[in-house]
Amino acid sequence: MLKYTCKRILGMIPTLLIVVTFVFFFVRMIPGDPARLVAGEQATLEDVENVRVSLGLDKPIPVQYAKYVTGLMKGDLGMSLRTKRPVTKEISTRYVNTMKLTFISLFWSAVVGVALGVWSGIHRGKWQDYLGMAMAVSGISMPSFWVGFLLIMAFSVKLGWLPTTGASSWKAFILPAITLGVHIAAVVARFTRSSIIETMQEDYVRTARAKGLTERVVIWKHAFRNSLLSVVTVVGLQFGFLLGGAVVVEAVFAFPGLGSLLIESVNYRDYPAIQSLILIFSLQFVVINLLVDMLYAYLNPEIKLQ
Amino acid sequence: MKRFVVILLVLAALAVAACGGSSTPEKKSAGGGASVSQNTDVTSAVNVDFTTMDPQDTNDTLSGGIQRMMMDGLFGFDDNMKIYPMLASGYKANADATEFTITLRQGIKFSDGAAWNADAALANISKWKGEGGIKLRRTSFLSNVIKSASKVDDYNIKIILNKPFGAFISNLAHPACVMMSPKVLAKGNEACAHNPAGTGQYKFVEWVAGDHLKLALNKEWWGYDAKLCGGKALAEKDAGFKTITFKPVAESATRVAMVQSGDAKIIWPVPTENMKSLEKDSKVKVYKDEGIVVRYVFMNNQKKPFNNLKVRQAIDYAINKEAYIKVVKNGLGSVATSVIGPKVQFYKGNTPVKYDPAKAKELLKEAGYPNGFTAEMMFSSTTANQKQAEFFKQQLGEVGINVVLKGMESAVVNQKVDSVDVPGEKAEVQMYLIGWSPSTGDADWGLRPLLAKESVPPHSYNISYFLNDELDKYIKQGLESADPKVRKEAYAKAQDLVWKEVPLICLSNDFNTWATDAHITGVKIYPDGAINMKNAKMSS
Amino acid sequence: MTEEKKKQDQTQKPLEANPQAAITDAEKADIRTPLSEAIRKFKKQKNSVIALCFILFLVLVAVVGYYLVPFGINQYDYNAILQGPSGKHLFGTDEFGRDLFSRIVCGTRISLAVGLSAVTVGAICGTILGLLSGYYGGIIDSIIMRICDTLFAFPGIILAIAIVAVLGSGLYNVVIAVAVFSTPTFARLVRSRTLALKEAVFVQAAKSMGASDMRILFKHILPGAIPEIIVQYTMSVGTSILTASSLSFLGMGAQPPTPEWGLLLSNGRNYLLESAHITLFPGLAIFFTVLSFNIFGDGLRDALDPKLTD
Repeated sequence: MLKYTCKRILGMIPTLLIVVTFVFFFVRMIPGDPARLVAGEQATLEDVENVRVSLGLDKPIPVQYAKYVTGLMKGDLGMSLRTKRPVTKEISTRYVNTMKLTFISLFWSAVVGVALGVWSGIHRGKWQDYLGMAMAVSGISMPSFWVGFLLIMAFSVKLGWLPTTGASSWKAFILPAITLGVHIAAVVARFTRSSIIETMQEDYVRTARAKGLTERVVIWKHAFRNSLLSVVTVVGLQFGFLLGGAVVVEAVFAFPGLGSLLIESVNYRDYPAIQSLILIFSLQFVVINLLVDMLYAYLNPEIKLQ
Repeated sequence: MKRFVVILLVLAALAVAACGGSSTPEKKSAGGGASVSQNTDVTSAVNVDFTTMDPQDTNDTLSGGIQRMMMDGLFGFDDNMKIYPMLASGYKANADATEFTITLRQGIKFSDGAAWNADAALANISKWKGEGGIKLRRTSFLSNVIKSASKVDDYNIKIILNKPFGAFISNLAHPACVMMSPKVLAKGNEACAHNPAGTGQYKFVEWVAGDHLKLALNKEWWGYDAKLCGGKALAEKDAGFKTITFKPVAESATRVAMVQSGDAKIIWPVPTENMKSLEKDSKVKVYKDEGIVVRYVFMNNQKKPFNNLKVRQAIDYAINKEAYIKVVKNGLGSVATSVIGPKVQFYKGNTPVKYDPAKAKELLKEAGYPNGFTAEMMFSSTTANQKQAEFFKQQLGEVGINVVLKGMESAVVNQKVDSVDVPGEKAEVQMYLIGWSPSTGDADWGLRPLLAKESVPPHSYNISYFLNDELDKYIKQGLESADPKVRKEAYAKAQDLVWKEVPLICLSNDFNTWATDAHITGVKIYPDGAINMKNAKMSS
Repeated sequence: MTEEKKKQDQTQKPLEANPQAAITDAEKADIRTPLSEAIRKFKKQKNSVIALCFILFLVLVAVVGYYLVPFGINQYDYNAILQGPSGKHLFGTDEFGRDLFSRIVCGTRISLAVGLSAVTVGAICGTILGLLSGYYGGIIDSIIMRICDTLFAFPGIILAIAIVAVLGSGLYNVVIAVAVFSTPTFARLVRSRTLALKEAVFVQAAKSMGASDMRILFKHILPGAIPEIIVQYTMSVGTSILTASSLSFLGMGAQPPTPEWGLLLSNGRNYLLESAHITLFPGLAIFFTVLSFNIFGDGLRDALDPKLTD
């Protein structure tokens, strides 16, 4: 197991290096001059050139590349062009916020999604199924920013129960977590349902029933256990996407997370920040894949780790 | 005898109690203790994050405004953009506007203990000159102008300029020139950007970028002391808040929701669309006031058809400026009467043309475009600009001009418009939307960067590519004299010329809008858009 | 199932010298082809049928709506700004006094066009890549799958933003962006089908008869993958429309005065508190459109899945 993990981790490094190089050159293809953006409104040409020098953007590209990569080796993600602070500092608070939001959203939506999926699956064809699936399909059809605005209008403005923005208190996480979770819960519910339906048709379920076990045990101890694999895959995928894909929800709730940092960095052509963020997203994704694979192997010993 | 002693003691005790001032913070005091307001923490929501705390590296009004709360300059602007002396108590200039001797106010200390005196001033001026390597965003503001600065005595300095610059005092009032403590300056630019110290009404507490910025009241501020101020105190004794926490919230609907729910006590700017609904909310007070931002439609004067005066005039007649204010600004603006706003120094007003689409069509016909023409309008794609752009498309469409809207990200717009280095007729831009406010409050900075020949891209913002020697002459006259009469006349002639030649369409003066909790008074916005909390207080 | 088999046995007559008779007998035996089977199963799911009808209705609206709406999409009226729904203006008016109902109806064409074209391009590219990858294997497979994995690593919206940042905003570039991130899904899908079908008997037979690779891929393997492609297609349309409107919401998609639904919603956010109708109706339009594609897709999937019997 340990050897496998190490091999996988080492295998990630060349991929990540390719990603970093690709992104480094890709962002410089985007039209726009960061020096001018940082110099801002009312800047004269002289101001712009001053800023360019102060940001190190006047150095030739290979030099900038070398500087960035050597920095990476030391764990230094570079200096943000926009804020002139280390990128690591910019990312760290946001990372924590995004992590918290991701976990909370994933937790409630996985629980609700699984429950809904199982409920629909075992009552296949009956009203419970239709209701459950109607809710699920609605969940994946709603634009997240619309849901966010409706929630803000209802709970923040009209009722005043919850704060509208930020990540200051635990209360501020509620509305964004609901908004993000709706889609995920729906996806998980649908997957769980098909998975349960499949497993319920398997022979071992019939055997379990024939043995005289209660329906509840049959469902949870046997059918669901075996659906767990698909559910875990789906939840894992969503986790990966949540870590960077909550951009729109972050915009609506002014939530200081990684997604909105990426947008701001792109708007400002903040090359070091963009490069580092993309690197982090890739790293996260690879790590999550690894964890899901390991979880797979744990849940189903039949799968041999090659 | 005993009774007499008791009465005396009681009287003495009362006298001591009366003279000692308040000791309980909850009571509003007449003496030197803290008021209700000064013991209240307040949260405010702003529309973008702060960029830096170093005035020489700042180009956005928000950061500049906050720096002004912590640091004072030699001169400052009052509520109406009139210059008044702050850390200076007076000045003398020579006739050529090349030598300025400034007398400094005495008895003031920085919040970190450094003394305010000629040495401190010179340390700041040395930074303005760009000494010490790294050039910052605003270094060019004064580095090309100041030749040398020297100490006359502890409270007098002499600054020699390397060319005549009549607007020098206005520049000194600019937020880029507020004074930083020499102790912080000695630690370098990093310290200035993240840990400032000044002589201002508030002290810096902490700044967590992206999350919040916190200031605390400086109860020993010299501005509270009428004597130090030379007569009238700058702020009332009970004004100010214990701490102010600023939170950046980009989504305007969210900011509005915050002030309604009480999550924020002060917000600015208030999107014009939300003013009406906030006015109806009894928990909130809403304010508006004319600012110095003017909105324009630039036209490339070197390209057809805009090189024809009649075409430019036609466009002027075709745009209904009252409707612009009503529809685009929700009534929060005033029709522009010059290329600079009425509160700018040396403003001269002229009568705007009346909306007349028939006349516009006639002028177009005379110019050789009886069926109108097609033109591209570029702008950075903010919601506000998108709204304006659609409005212009509608208006100009009525007279046969088909406007193709090209909204782009700021970065891309900069690339295509600001950074190009070609003669006007080869430039890509045809029409361009922009707003401008002369942050020095002086006509020079409202005219020169927009219309002087030296300011064509990539140098500055003469995106209209207006190349007019007569205008340049007036601008030069205004700049090179320190005599207000001479400057006034030069700028009057300049504004008349601009009104006649119509190189750009002047639409409106923006109103600044802000909203506070109903219990707060005294929060204002300076005409340049920066926050003004000098006399802000919370009533009980 | 067993009853049908019994029926077939009964009607089967011993093979005669007359093949024609055998054929008509077979027809009478009501042998079901996969297609008719699928259609039958589909028709049984009432909600999917309703969804399909709604989609056809939307297509109709997209085609003729432009000519039938009461107001022009740019017909402004400064005296009728921000009015709520009324008899004259079914969905109210916007900040320029334009009729929201007319704008939403005309926006149907845009949203459908963007959604469908983006997924079509993605499906075509993905299918071709998947076929090549699955059939030839080796280096081609590795490269294609590597690229797909990298594309998968990014949340769709981030990828779309990156592409739009380089290409510039506007609907054409949105289509490209969405097509790019739809491609890997189709590629993966078609690849696994190809891998499975590659070994099938009829493919081996065609090969031994000397059929060219292209012929095998397109005439033999591709048809086997079509059902899954179609199902994925309908599901992707929903995502495509949502992504396009998200991009417009972020300011990177449609430009004014295009009445694209996401852009209408984005405009509406300034008026959330007083004139909620500007946000409500475009949001509902997006919701119902995506919903109908998803329900239709579900119905298709259930109908085409051989494992799901009645």
